[in-house]
Amino acid sequence: MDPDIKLILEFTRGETSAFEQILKKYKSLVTNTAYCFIQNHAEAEDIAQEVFLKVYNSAKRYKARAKFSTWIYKITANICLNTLRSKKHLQTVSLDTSIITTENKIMRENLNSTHVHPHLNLEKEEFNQLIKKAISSLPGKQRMTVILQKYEGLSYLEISEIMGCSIPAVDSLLQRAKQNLKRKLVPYFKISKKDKNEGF
Amino acid sequence: MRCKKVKEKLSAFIDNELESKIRLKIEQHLTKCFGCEQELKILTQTWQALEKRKRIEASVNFEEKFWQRVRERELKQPLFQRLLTRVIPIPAAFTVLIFGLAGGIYLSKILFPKETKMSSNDLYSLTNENFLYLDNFDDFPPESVGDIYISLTSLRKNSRIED
Repeated sequence: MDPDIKLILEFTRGETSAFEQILKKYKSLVTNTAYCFIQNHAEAEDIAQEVFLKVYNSAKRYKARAKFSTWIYKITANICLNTLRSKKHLQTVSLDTSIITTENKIMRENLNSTHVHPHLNLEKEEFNQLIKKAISSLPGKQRMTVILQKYEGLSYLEISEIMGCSIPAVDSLLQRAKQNLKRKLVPYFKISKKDKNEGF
Repeated sequence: MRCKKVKEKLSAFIDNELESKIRLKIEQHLTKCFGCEQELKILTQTWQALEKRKRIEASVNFEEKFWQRVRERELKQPLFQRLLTRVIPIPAAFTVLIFGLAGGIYLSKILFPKETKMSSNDLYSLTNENFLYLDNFDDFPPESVGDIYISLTSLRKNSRIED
């Protein structure tokens, strides 16, 4: 039996220490997932607290059909998406108005120079900001599937159970997310002479 | 495999989520198609760019804050709900249920008594004046079944008396 399911069953029988173990194990995972989604540390912590409150109050209704981690991811995804809807964070963020640093402008104009790696010319913090904005620009469900696949390393099957949709639907969400991210990030990629000659 | 179909599968190809047969077909197509190969290259670079995302940890007092919120929520619950979920164990609730049912049955007997059976004195009081005899009814129509029956029974009665 999944050890986490065992802990939840012990908690439903009144063992509060079992819940403490779950809290210790999953607090960072849930906080990080929420942070990747909402892009704000304080809000991510609030979401994580809500997730665990939901687990605490709903433990007796948990049916051990799937892994416990799937269940907690599902709750996290739902609360994140609901938070986004309520805060109307679905407004797309234009990258063109975000990180317009001098270096970026030069980089975008200078397509003839050679390079080895697409984002080497950005400062680490600028790069983080760029990625943050790119992900923030995605619609809620695309954003969540990107986070679950890319950052949490989950399979399409696991993501489909978490998001409550089919595997082809997950594939479609990730396809569209990749296309959207490509459109946002490609202008910031420097291309090598070889790639330019080949029409990249 | 056509380019349109290949491009639809590139995301799953990058994520290694394709069946081996389909993956092989795509790989074969990519060796011959520059456009699809470039598309794969761009998507792969885009996807790899996301790998640099920083991870955060939960705050040091996360658990303390959580238990505080649990206590606050429990205090906000109505008293009877708190008692129901925490104080009254299931056997006690079962006992309350049994007593409740017994009390309900007792009350129903008091409020809605059944009609009592007639005593023998009551039966005796149902004398001739209370009972209805056939004489109290109109005669049967002539030559009807009832009329014939009455005639026959009267004849029989008279013949017995004569005997």
